[in-house]
Order: sequence, then structure tokens, then C-alpha cells
Amino acid sequence: MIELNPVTSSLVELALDAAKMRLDVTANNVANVNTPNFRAMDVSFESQLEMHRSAMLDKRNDSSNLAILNQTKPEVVTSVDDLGLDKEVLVDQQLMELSKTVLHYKALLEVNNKRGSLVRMAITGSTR
Amino acid sequence: MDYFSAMDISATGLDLERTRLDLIALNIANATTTNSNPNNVYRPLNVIASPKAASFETQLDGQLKQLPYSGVEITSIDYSRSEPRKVLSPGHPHADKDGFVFSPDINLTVEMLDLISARRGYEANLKVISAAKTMNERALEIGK
Repeated sequence: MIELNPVTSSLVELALDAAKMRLDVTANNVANVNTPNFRAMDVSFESQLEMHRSAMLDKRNDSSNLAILNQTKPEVVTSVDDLGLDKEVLVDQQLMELSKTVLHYKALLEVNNKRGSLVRMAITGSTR
Repeated sequence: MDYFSAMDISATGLDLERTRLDLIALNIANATTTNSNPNNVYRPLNVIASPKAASFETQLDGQLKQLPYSGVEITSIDYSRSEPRKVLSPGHPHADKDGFVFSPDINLTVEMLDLISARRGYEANLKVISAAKTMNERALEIGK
């Protein structure tokens, strides 16, 4: 199937998955806030994208960029502080992370809706 | 990773904080009870919790680096090992032959602090649930 901007759609899909995973991880951190010895967890995704970014800007062709995206996968990691030590769960930090995640999720869905209206325009030939 | 996973996780957190609250209520309610036998005195109860391991399937998918936990679980509810208080009160109906009355070693300040932490924990879990709700509602609007 020929798809309009497939890289955008799979990128949005990946990022939505990562946001959902981050919500689960935050929920788990908050649920364990009073558990002794529990260490906060986080999702590694943006750092992976960052690594691939220059490569993706180099070869601006969809199939190779999609191949790069296929290697990117959100992963659950133990969060570390600046000194590289495991972090305790801090409720305020977690709740801030939570509201960021929700906003980010909404923004991604907005991007996806815009992409949808572009496809609609391409099909119907009009903006209505 | 399914649709309601975040809510399920937060529900385990809510359950734990509610149990904690119940035990604090029980401890405070029994703070002034007395007994003539130190072995029969009310012992303050504590909840012991630990991270709940994710289901077998999720652990099997370990190489996908999924979340290894699915919330928190109450491992046990255990009584405090602290010795009962011994007060000399010869006229008390519960006084033993030497005139001592025993009452549970409950520190109201500590209980109140635990109460605050349980309440804040409960609120934090509720916040996560409402965030999950917002996200799910928005996800339902995809393609509208």
C-alpha cells in the first residue's frame, strides 16, 4: 500500500507507545512510593531517537528511515541521577513527569490528526 | 501493555494506601486500651508491601524490556515487636498483682505522620488514574 508520509506515521506510533509505556512506569513508581528499597524507573526512547536523528537527516528516503525506526523501541530502564546512582521515587517529580506525559500524548495525537487531514485533502482534493 | 494497565497499577497503589489508612485507624482506636497481661495487650499493626512482579507472559517477554512490575502488593500485615507500656496504677481494674497496667506502645505522632503519607500516596495514585483516563479518552478520538 502506498502511504502518505509513512515515516511520520510510524514515528508518531512509536512515540505514542513510548508515552503509554511511560504512563505505566509512572503509575508503578507512584504505587510503590512507600515501598522500601524501591528504585524509580523510566522509559528510554528520546535518547535512542536522538542517536538516529543525524542518520535520518542524512538519507532522506522513506525506506531507509523506516529501517532505522524499526530498530528504535521504547525500553524500561532504572532511572539514575546525575551521579549515576539509582533514584528513589519522589512523588512531585513523578507527578510532573505524569503531566508532561499527558501533554506529550495529546500533542502527538494532534500531529496524527493533522496528518490525517493532509491525507484527506490528498484524497478528496479539497480541504472540506 | 494493554488499555487499562496504568489504571490497574494505580488501583493496587490505592488498595495499599487504603489498607495503611485502615490499620492507622485501628491503631489509634486501640491506643488507650489496657490489659493486666502484657502478652494480651493490643499490638500495633503495620502493612508490609513490596513491588508486585509482572505476570509470567510479561517476564517471558523480558528481552523486549517491558515493565517488570505491575504495581505494588501487600506482602503481609504484621504486628509491631515493640514492648507494651507498663504504667503503675494500682487502683485500675486492669492492674496486675504489683499494681501495673499494660497498654500498647502506640506513638500518636508517628501514626499521624503515617496518616499524612498514606493520604498523599492515595492522592498521587488518583492523579495517575485521572491522567490515564485523559490519555485513553484522547486516544479514542484518533481519526476523528
